Amino acid sequence: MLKYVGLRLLQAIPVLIGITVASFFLIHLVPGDPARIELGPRVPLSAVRALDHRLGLDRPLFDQYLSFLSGAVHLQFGESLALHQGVGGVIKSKLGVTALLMVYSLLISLLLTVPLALLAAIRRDGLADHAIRIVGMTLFVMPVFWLGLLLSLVFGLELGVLPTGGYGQGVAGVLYSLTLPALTLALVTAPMFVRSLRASILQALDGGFVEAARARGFSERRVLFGHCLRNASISTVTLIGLVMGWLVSGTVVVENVFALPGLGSQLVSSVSARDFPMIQGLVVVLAVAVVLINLLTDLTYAALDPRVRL
Amino acid sequence: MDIGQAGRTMLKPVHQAARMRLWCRRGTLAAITLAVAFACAGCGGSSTNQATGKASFYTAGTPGGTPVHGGTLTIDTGVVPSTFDPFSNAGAAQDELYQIEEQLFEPMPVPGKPSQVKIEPALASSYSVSSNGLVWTFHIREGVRFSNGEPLTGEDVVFSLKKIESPTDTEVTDTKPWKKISLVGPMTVQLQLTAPQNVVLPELLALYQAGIVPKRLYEREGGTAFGLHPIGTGPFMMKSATPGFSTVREVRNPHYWRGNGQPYVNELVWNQVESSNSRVLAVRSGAAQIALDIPYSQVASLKATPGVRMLVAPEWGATINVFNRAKAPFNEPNVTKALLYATPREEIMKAVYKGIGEPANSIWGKLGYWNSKVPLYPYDIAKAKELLKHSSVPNGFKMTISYVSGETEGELVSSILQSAWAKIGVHANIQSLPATTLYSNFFSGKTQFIVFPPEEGFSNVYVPYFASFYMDNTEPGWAPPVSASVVAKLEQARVATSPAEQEKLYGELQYDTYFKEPVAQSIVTLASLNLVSESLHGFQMMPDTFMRLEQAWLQK
Repeated sequence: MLKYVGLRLLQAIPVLIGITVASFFLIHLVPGDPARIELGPRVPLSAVRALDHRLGLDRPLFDQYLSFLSGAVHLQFGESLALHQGVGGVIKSKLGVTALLMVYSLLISLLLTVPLALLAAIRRDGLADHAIRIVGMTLFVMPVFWLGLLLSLVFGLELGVLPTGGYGQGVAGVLYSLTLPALTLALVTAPMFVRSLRASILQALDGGFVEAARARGFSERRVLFGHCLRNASISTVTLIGLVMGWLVSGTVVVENVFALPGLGSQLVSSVSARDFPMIQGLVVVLAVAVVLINLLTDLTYAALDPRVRL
Repeated sequence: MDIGQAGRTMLKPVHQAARMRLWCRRGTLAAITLAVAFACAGCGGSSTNQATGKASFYTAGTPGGTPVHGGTLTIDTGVVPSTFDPFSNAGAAQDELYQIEEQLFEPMPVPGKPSQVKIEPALASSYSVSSNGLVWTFHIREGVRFSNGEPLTGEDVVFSLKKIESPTDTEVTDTKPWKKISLVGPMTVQLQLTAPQNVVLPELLALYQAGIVPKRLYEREGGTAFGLHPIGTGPFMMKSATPGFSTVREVRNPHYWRGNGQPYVNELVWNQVESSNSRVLAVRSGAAQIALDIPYSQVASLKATPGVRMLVAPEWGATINVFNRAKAPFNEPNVTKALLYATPREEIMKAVYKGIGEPANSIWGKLGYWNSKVPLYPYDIAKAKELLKHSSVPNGFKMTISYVSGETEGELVSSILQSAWAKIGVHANIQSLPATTLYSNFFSGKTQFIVFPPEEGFSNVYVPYFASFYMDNTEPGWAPPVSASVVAKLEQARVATSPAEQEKLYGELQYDTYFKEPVAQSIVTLASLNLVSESLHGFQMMPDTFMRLEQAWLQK
């Protein structure tokens, strides 16, 4: 397995390089000069050019990219043009918020998914099954920001049980403040997982091994949880891996609605400010995260299905 | 989520690329307007006084009473600064920085109460002017200390004033009012001017940018480091800020010179909350006490919401939509006038701005030399067609209206103008662009007509600066200078020493730039829309968006 992990990480390097190349050159294609943004509209062109020179923005693009790459290898992303602070420090301070939000939302999503999918499968074509699928579809099509505001209104304002926004302090405070944002994301991702898991469970329930398990006198609970669920979860694990990538963009919206100081909102503001070092740093971090998530997904396959050899 | 807010803060602006400084002078320049009292207390003609407008849509500040000490005042704002260096260009471009920063630093005079069009002495306790108007002598207040305990000295004042000469893009360097700053006594600073500027100078000195900093500390640390740990004489001092300044905490300055128990609250917490809906929810749930910049569309419903107060205050400036007069056919006055006559102002004021604000007859708002006699453009399709007939495009033409993506008001105004202008044969295509891209296109002359967000309205505190920008822009990517006679009038106004003469000249310039040779379209005066908690007292938003938070207190 270690060999497999090592090989996957090596394979990730050209992927990461490709991502940084694409993002670097794409952002430079968008109109907007960071020096002009920094100095305002009335400075003479000479002042803008002087700042461009000081920041190294007048060098050929390829040179700028190579400088960035050599720094990135040492995890040095330079100084943010907009914030005048080290990119690494800013990312480090915000990474935890986004990571925690993603993991928390995934946990809530799974807590919702497993029982609902099981219920829907067991009560196939019954009232519960239809209700779960209809509600799930309704939640799935709701815009994330709208759902977030709705939850904030209900739980934050009307019921007053959860904060409407902000990032708490301390472990309890952080979890408390992230509950609504995580629930928002979970309510959008859970329907996908429920449908996938429900279909897989139904397929598994028709399998010979389930019949054999029942024939051996196992309880229905043992059949479902011990045999059926494990087999059915593989396709859902694939979906989780894909959705985690989507969650990265989902956090942008949620961080905006709930005023969370995470990477998503930082990325949006950096793009607007044409803060090239910060954008590059964030792209690298997020790309690495997606690569690691995909690797984790593959490792989970192996853990779930002994037939899978890494 | 308010996508408009997200889009707007992308520049920002608002961090988010700073708003282009042309548009972001509300607070700083607003302070200037009030210079009348400091410079000439006797001045008070109706055209120079701040007009509060109709009372029907404006609401007063929060109730007063006997202040209660203590508590934490939380303010949710859409955009946060990228530095607290008062002399930084980037910082200077952001109103939000100004609102946070003005609690930390103080200039020599400060804006007074909104009911008075004047500034008040602050770090300068008094001043005198030589008979020829060229030498101004300021007496620095004794006994003032910075928040780190160091005493304020004349050297600090000289250093700070010299610092604001350095940036290349400030009102100070634009006007270049002084040729020499000197320390003539331990606590006496003298400015030798290039020309008499009775009205301009006190206004300039009331800018937040002219906040006084400790010289030795600033020189030792440098601007960047100082901007992360600022020290000033303001009522509050910086306690902490998260990287990226998404949350900034300021605590009472124990050395604050005003006394009287001010500031009353122990701590200010500024949160970056980009979504206006989220800001509203925060105040309604009690998580925050002030939510800044509420959209026009929510004002009516929030006024009826129990437990909160919707404050609608006049704000200096007016909405401004700009033609690219460097491009045909907008370089023809008949064309721009035709479009202005074909603009249904009342409809826009009602549908977009919900009846808040007054019709604007000036591109720089209704204050400081405001001339009430300048006529508004009536909605007159026949007149518009007639004007167009005497232009190079008698049968109309195609054009593009651009607005900042996510800006609800911009989108609505663009739609209304599109259908209105179609009646005179002008067929507009609407284009929505991110703020940074739009401004970049604007200054490189690629746009034709831009509907700017209301916050970007022209703040008229410093009329000469903006008049200059529109009239003798040396890098006309979008606007060639107006006629030589108008430019000459501006020069004359700049150096006029008599308030009456200045009022006359700027009043004429208002007519010239709005009606005679229209440089832009202005629809309605601006309003400051903020939601506050009922527990907040002593708070008032001034027309320059300045907030004297040392006077605010929280009912327990």
